[in-house]
Amino acid sequence: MKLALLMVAMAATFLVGYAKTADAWPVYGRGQFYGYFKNIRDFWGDSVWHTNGPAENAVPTTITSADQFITFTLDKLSHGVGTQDGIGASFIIQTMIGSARDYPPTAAQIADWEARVRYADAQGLITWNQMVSYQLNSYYQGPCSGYNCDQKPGDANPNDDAFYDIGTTNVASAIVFRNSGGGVAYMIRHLCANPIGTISPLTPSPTYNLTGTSTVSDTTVIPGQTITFTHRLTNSGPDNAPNVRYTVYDQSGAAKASGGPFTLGATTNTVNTNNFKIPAGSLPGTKFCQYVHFTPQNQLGGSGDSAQACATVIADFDLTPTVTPSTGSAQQNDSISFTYTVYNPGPTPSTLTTCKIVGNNHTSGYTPLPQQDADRNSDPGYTPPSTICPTNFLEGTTTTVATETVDVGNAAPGSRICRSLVLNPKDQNGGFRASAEACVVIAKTPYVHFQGNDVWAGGGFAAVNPACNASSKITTSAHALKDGSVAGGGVEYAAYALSKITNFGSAGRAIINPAAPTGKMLTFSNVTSANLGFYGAPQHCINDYVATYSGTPVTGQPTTIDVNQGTGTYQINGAHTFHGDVPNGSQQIWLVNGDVTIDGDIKYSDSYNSVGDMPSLVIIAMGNVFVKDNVKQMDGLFITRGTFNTCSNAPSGNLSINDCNNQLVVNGSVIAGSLTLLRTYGADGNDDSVRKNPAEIFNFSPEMYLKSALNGSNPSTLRTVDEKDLPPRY
Amino acid sequence: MPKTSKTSRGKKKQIITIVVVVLLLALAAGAGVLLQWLQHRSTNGSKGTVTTSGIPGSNDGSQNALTQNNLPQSVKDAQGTAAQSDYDQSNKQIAASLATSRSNDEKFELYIQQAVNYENQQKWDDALNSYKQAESLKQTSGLYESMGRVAEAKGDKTAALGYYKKAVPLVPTADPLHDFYVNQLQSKITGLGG
Repeated sequence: MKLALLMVAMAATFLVGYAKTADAWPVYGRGQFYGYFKNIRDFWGDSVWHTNGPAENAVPTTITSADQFITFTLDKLSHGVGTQDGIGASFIIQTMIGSARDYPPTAAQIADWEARVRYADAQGLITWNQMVSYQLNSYYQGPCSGYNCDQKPGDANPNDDAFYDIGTTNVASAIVFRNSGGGVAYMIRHLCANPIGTISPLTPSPTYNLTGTSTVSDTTVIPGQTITFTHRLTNSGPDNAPNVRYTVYDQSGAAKASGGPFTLGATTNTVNTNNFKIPAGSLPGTKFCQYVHFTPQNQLGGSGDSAQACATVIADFDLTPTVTPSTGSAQQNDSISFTYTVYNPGPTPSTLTTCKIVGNNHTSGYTPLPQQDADRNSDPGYTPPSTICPTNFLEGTTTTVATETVDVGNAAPGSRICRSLVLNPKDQNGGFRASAEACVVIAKTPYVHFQGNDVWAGGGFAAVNPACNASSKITTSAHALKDGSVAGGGVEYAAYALSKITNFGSAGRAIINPAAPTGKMLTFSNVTSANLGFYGAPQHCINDYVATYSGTPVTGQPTTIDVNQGTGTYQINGAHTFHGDVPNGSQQIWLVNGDVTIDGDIKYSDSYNSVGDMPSLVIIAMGNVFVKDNVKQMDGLFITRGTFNTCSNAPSGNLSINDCNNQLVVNGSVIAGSLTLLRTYGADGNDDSVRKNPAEIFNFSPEMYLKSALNGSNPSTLRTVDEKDLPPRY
Repeated sequence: MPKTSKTSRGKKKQIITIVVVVLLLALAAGAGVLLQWLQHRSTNGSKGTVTTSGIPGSNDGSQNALTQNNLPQSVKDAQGTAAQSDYDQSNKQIAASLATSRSNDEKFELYIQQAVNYENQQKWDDALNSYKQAESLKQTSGLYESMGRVAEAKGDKTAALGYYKKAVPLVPTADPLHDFYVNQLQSKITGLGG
């Protein structure tokens, strides 16, 4: 019996010990119904946050983001430590981070809590509105009343929150926070803001900080160069950065590449490299940049950008200005043009470059300037054409900056119309560069006119070429004048040639357009049927004046012969010079076995009393006939198996207007192996009429008809007129 | 002397007995305290002791939980799945647990979680059926309040009114929010014309 009583007593004390300590073991340091902050026991409760009844939730269901939740909670906290809202906010903040009960929460605790909430939201660990079941509940400990005051001796107004296990399951709408393991970490009931169910700290936000770095393989580039951009993300840790994403942008904002999500450890990773070719024509100073944009920046989210990595196109060029004239020479009243170009060999386009066209007129003998790294200036009054400058000259390209048309006007022959193109800067180092000066020489094309008879080319001397079928041709110059007429060489009547007749007019007209009838109405050549072709004889021998007089005794004569002497027929050996006036009635025939030089005028009298007064001078040269530049008039018949040169003392090379500039008039006839017409007279002046003046005139004078070469009348007498019948016959 | 010795020996025996009884009773009480402590320790786990100076940190936030939430682990697991909005998977877990559970209390909690899942899916009829399954096992104010809420969602005000009225007397008087809940229920009843 005693033993039974002892056992009962022991059981009773066991139960008492068990029961008395049932609430003694703390939840976060507190037992059920004991306040979180003050450890005061209480059986009376209210919502953690005040509500105005069932129709109002303490936590609005419109809260659907970490920012909204944090803002709302901090607003409650701001109501103060002595308020229900402030106590509840502190309670929620601290239980969500499992921190010490520092009342109110410290700034560090709040920062930790914000980080955990944002991290949970960023990780998708929050469901903002969900029905849940729960047993554990919390509540606000307000002021005591009645029975409740017995539970809170010494503190009638604890302003605290407490937990309790309701023992039965309730269902409510709540915000549900999960931990990174997927389980429920924390739930806040919308209606009362009471933390319910499993109330455990949210997963701590990892701590990391990302920075981006972008680099480029070369910061100074040229067009065509390929560069490499490298983009790196650095996590300064200490934790891994989850869900990292990045996008690479260029300077225009265009996305070049993107990647993620991935986890970035506490290290530096190269997330992207890409090659980029600098486009051709990229101007100096142009920047090509890239940067990497990334998310998150740290555990709180956000985003970041690396500093832009840029490659700048440098200037590396060397310009060559060029002026190209439409012609090297021109005549008065011509229109000429200049084309101004710039070549840039590269490798980069030029910087903005100015152009200046410089115009200068120079006198005869001027030597054009070469390309120079210097500035130049125009003559006063010159108006340059407009240009496309300033501009950038692309690499490897020749650019025309201007064209200019110039009317030569009355510019003196021998003068020069010159143009230069001056650039600035010439290269990346700056400075002027003037082109080589382009000059158009004002020239003229002297003409020859044959009056009073025809011109025959071809056949030649039988003694030189027995077949007498030389393909002789006639080639002179012609020039179209502004008034529409043509200035040029020509013959008053017909022109015959066994070969071509070029720019030599007939029927008293000059010719420049071979397709036009004007100037070739009496042109007979054997090389074209286009106009009066094939009417020339296939062969034609010139009368053999030499053979006729070869029997004349050779006499000794001075080397310089003045033809002012009486009648006589002479054969003389060696070169001789002739000049002088032929007296009336004098009949002279000179067969010279050598060259003949005419060093002064040879003139007939221009006054006759009878036909017999008409003089006759025949000079037959076995060699050439050289006429000096001072000779202005030659009357007579001049025959040479060689060349008849109208300016034998001309300087070598091109003639200037200062050379051979006397007009030569031959009154009579010339029979020669070839004609070399060098006189520069005429073809210039202040109007088109004078620009047609010939340099040489061959007048088949009436004396030639009236005085034959042998002054005879029998059929065997050599004539000074050589005829050929053409249809229609006359 | 013998009498005195006999009396003395009797007193000594009495004192020893009292001391032993007191020690036994103290030992029994200590065992009760120890059991309570062991139970607390087992329910709180061995992951750390909460102190006023702070709670040791953890990596996944699972430590230092208020484990007094006495829902069965099977329900907590289903709740965790449902928290990820995977209600179908949660219901599969619940069905599996129901098939093996021998505890009516556990089945009750499983049916409630099942009903909660259906509520979240707005499958009102399925939710009400699950709640009725729970009702067959236990009747609580929270259960009837939930049934009233689902009936309201279905538009069945009469049924909702009935459920809310059943809930009122079942609110635990020991609940610190007893008055709050009762007032809530009364407001709903009034709102429904009851």
